[in-house]
Amino acid sequence: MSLKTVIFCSGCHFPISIIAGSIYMGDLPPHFQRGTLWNTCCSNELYKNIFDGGCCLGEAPGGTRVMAFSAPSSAHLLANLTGTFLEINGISKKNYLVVEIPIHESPLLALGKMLLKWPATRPAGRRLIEGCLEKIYPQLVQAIKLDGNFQISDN
Amino acid sequence: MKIIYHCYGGAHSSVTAANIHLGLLPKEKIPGYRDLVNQKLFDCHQVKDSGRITFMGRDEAGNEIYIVGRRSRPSLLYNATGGLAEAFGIHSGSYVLVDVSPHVNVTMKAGGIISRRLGLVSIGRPLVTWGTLITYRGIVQLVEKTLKSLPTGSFTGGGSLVSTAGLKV
Repeated sequence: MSLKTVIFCSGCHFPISIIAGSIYMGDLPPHFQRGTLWNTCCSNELYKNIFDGGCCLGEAPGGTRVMAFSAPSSAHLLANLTGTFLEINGISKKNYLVVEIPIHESPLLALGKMLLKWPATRPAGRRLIEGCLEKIYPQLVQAIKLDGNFQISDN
Repeated sequence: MKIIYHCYGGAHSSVTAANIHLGLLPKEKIPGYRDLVNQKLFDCHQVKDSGRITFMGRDEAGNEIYIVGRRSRPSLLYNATGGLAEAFGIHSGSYVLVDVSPHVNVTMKAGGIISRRLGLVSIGRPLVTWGTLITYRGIVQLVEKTLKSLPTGSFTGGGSLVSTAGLKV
């Protein structure tokens, strides 16, 4: 039997599906903490490699595998794609849950991500991103509570 | 095997390719305007259906034929399906992705936008159908190329010996 999986899909320039997944897994607290967030999700290469694809973040304490997909302005496309692709391949809906993160594209996040490219503008980019993420963080926590409450029976 | 034809909206070129593959449209000659307009799912998909893989039918060899609209992000489709296949243990040779968008001409693009995005079907549909008639032979060639690339005797549920996932035909 395949591992139970929660798949987070986001459509922002900054891959907030990774943050949602990390909150779900318990790697990030339910309340915003700048340093923890940056060290967990933003300082490594993970967030750079997720675009136009997905990544497996790991396993939640309950044994559920967590995956994150992200592509600018394509959260709905990704959610449709992942759901139907698994469906046509005979994966039971009991074994996965696709969560579309209901947060729309933010130009400031896109700008912040762009500023991270150059060493001189990196601090400003980080500050901009952290400011935006602080605003949307409660929404992310709420989205996970609403949709990510993933309880599947083994039957 | 699953053959997934994909294009920008999943409403015209991929639908036409799938119907040619299924033998619902002729390979030898260019069909009439009515034949194209009346084909299954032609000019039907909406923007909200982006990414939804839709079953079109089974071909003579038992292959399942699907269509999907992936907007301007073919790499997203290739990477996402590849990642999911790996994570869920789906055999990478059990599906083929066929990009029909190189055969989409300007007339089809304009007609598609007018019909699907702007909702002006009475103007957009004749335009996109006319564009499809112009590029029809190219789509037939693509379907034939796809059929040739399939492992002999491929069937639904069976893993092929040759990995064809992500194949750009």
